Amino acid sequence: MASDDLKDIIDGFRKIRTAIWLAGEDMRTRYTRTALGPWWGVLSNVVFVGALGLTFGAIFGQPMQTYLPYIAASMACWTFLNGTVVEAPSSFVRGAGIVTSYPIPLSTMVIRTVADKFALFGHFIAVYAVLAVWLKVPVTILSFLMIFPALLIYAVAGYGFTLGFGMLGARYRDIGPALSSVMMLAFLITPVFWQKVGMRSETHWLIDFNPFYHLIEIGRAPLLGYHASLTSWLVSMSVAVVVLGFGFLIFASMRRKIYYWM
Amino acid sequence: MSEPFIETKSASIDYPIILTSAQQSLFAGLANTMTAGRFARSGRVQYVTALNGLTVSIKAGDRVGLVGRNGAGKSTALRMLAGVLPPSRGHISIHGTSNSILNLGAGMDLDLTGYENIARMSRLQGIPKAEWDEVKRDVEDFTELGKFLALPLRTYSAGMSLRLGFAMATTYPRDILVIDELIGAGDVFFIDKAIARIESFASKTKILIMATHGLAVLESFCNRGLFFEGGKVKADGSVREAWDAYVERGDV
Repeated sequence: MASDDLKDIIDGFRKIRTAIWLAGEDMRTRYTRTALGPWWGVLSNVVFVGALGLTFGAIFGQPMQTYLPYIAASMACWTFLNGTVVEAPSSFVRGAGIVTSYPIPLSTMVIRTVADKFALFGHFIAVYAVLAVWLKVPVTILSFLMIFPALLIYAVAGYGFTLGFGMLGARYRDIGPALSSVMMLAFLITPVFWQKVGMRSETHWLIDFNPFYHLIEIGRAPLLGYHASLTSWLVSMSVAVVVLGFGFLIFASMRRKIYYWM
Repeated sequence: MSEPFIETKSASIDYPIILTSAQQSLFAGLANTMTAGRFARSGRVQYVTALNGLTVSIKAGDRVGLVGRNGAGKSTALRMLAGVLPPSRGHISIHGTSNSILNLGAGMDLDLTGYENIARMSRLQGIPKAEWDEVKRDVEDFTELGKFLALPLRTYSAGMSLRLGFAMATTYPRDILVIDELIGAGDVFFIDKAIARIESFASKTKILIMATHGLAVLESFCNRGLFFEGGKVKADGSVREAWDAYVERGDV
């Protein structure tokens, strides 16, 4: 990585407040001219969790007391992961007007995307929190504290992914739509609204090889009061490290040329 | 604080010419490679070299005027020297903070009010928060937009948003100021005001770099001239030398 590339990344963190402010502006724009503002997001999540919980809870024969918080916690994590993957390819393209006119590093756009997705995560956490109190989810302090390393892993993986796919997505415009389709499929084959426990053991490999399963596990376990398996933690950490390395590599090799493709 | 400077070494900028959308498609590219070019005839991406091996050193006190025909590479050079476009080959090092008047509309949001846009652009420019009130007063005075500043930008005429953009670009002086061609800056009454403002603003910066087609502007603002042709600097010297080289090409 050349010094210019590193400088861009460091500047991005030095100007982190600009990135977070831009993410806040994305949020305001999303709900501009609406009466409820961000509560629209929370409300649609309430509807989503409620509808999914009632129908699938009935289909799978799950007790609502555990199934509703399960969906809310799973969806919070999934929303972050899905949102980051889907929006990464357009991160630099979206910020082209700003980075080509103001002294703002490219990597600011990466932090902006990740911060915005954390905000969406928060929308679901609001729903989860109400359910957790109401349905008395058995959260212990020790298990809950594990949410912090989990969020750190999310941040690292999200940053690396957006750094790399932001570049690739600006150069190759069909990567964005392609990733959206992949994530649609991933949503169905990952235990987000269904659970691993119901599966026959010979089909467990289907999800053991799915990195999204492990990433979701480390995020939702603290919220539901259990500990994720060591495997899930190790896989998630490895994913974060590999994705970050990949992101740096792509960023360093494409940064100079990407301005002309945005 | 040390003096600002800009140094470039064989800095070139190649723009890709995007003719078909297939050139920005990963799948079309892959299909093309795997079928040895039989799938799509989009071919390889062609590049145009807008700036070809610029080696220049600009120090504090330099007031550089860029002259040359349209398409000679002036605007591309300005973008690079302003630090918003890295060279695709070669090196540049910019020491000091910079301000540019390149595309005035950038960073404005039509849904936000004039005041909100002032705050937005102040933030994007990295102006310290303590100075925001001063910036606001200065822009209020200069633009004379009055009550319109409390209304969303979409209610503005083109000239009004231009005034706002111009005022914001010339409110907080930095070490380096980069200006592209000052034309079409609003109505007749505004032009004189704009030029007076640029003059006082430019005097507060340590390095000025501007592109122009007018000898009068060149002589009143600059103490050094660069003549561009075909993406290269063909003359670097006094304002007169650069202008004479430009005129000699028979284009004026």
